Amino acid sequence: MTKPGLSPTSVFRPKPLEISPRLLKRRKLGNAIFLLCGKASVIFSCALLLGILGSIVYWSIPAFLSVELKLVVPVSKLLKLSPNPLKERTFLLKESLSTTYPTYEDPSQKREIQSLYSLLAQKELRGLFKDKEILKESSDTLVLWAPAQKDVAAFLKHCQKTSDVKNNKAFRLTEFQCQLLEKLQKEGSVRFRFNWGFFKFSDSQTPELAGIYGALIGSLYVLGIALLFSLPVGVITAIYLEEFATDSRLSRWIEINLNNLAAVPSVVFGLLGLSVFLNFFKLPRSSSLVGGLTLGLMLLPIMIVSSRIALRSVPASIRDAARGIGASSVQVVFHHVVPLAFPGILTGSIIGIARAMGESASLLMVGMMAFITTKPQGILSPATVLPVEIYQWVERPERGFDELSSAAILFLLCILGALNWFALFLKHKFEKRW
Amino acid sequence: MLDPKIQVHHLNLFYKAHQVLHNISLDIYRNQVTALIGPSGCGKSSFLRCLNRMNDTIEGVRVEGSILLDGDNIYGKSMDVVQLRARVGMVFQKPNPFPKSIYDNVAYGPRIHGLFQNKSALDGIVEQSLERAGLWKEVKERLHEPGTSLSGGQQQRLCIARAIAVKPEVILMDEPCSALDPIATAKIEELIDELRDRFTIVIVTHHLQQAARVSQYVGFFYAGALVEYGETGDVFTNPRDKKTQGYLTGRM
Ligand SMILES: Nc1ncnc2c1ncn2[C@@H]1O[C@H](COP(=O)(O)OP(=O)(O)O)[C@@H](O)[C@H]1O
Ligand SMILES: [Mg+2]
Repeated sequence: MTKPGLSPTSVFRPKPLEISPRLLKRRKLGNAIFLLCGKASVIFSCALLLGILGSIVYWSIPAFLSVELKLVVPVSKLLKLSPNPLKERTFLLKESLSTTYPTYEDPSQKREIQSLYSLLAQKELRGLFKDKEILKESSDTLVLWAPAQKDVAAFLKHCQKTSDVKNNKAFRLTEFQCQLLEKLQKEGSVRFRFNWGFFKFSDSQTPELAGIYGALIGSLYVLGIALLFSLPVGVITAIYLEEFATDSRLSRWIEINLNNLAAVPSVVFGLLGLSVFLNFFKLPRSSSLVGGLTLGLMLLPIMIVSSRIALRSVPASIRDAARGIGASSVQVVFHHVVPLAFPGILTGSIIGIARAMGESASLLMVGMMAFITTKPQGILSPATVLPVEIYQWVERPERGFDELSSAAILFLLCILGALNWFALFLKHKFEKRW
Repeated sequence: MLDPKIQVHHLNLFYKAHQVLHNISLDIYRNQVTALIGPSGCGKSSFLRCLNRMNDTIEGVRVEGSILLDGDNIYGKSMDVVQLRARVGMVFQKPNPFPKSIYDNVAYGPRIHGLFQNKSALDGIVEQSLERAGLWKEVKERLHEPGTSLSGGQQQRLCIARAIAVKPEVILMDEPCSALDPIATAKIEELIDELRDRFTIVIVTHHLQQAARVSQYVGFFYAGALVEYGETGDVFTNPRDKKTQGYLTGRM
């Protein structure tokens, strides 16, 4: 026998690793169960999201449709009957209605027919007669598509076929009106149009005259003021804290508090705005200035925190490089760090804007819930913003506001989605640059 | 006798309570390459960063003793740190070009220090610096491409060009080749040798052959102390200290 160390049989050969089949089976089962759970939760959350989105879209579709009824205007007859037809309020509509519906003589029927049309119909008719040029060119009758009254609109949008009594009651229409509407629809005297008014009108008591224009402009005012206030202050604070402040107990204390502030519920900022801007500075209630400053307060910690993250992500090697050839601290920061952090700062700001855009609680606290039928006249005049408008519409009992609020929610969602997409786009674009 | 460019006297360096450098004294000679060697963590980088006060920005750093640059204490009250760093340039371990064009990388220093009268003078400085860094031929067609698009070795030479564009007196290099392949390393070593006639160079390296190849003087650091310092040939062939012998022969 040779020495064991040299014998070829005693060369160390590791035994292949043997895994017990039971262990293997258990491991595989574990994997399979987790993958199944993962897929199920993804599907569940997607379904939930799609469900919410789908229902909002479904509920908002009617708001984007306006219902119009045909109205035959006997122009030459009207001009003959009265030299100044604009003088009498309902004269034009009444005469046009009897031309359009010549077979209904009964005064109560006439009244019911008139109430099918929106108040806007009168306004449009009067507008028509103000414009003498058009009248001269037209023949003796003229067809006007006049907007329908809100209950009629709802009836035609939701249950166009049925006209049983139950529905009549729900839509606050008489049986006569329902039958007439059904007849009109068969004749083709009813048409659906895209409701441009939704984007053109401001708030109103009547849903067919209500739109988001005023609230949208109000939102822009408020956001503009909030940004003007919070962006420069936030970015400068972040730069100072991140690049110049020494790491002392005070600066750590500030850092912790800023992070906490960024997570404080917005109502608290509303309270702050209420006591500071309204009660102390006596600024006008419901004005976009107060709303903007309040949102600015809310945005400030968010801006500071996101800007600091962006600044911190600039690698130390760049700072070293600049410092190493004799750039001063301010030069290092403004020539190198800030330009490199800029896309990140921008992304953070846009996400902040999106948050402010959907903010309602703190604005309600500073009284931004006035009923305003125009766009804001200035930063000190009353204004309303989109989320508050939605909140108000949801509360109104009249038919038609429910779908309007869904439509406004959809619109707001689209804007927020676009903002977030834009933030992502910027991030990707600038990340790829170098 | 050689003319000392930098004189270090009794230098102690603390990071908060932790002492990193212990009573270091040495002279760094004009237009020579001085290499600093030693095991990692022994304080070579910390020492190098004392020479242009790059340590100032680190929280809790304390320096005792003095460092004289041409006889002026760089830790003295009248010394402007920003100007000091223009006089004592630095090249880092990892190539760190600015995410700007090659041209702007080199032109940045002259711009902030106002070293030129007009655009063509700046062009001249950029060309000369890239030429001296041995990079001109490779990049002259693509001066406006980002500096980060170059290879690692080219990036490091760009950093050298950027450092020499402000015409420093001393260039500090902290393991400039540790992230590079052997060919790029050879180019940089060659470059260091060429730069010696204009600049005083201090280079930290963990590569003994490199120290032997490029330097005229070598200092061996061990645990925050300068164990041995002298002409490279002497130290390598005839080390006096046991620790140096051990380190040079790899028995540490
Ligand atoms: N910023 C710092 N803060 C605290 N300690 C540090 C810092 N930088 C380096 N040190 C310590 O100083 C010692 C020397 O480090 P360094 O100079 O980087 O060594 P070398 O470059 O020789 O590897 C190490 O013990 C390290 O932990
Ligand atoms: Mg080091």
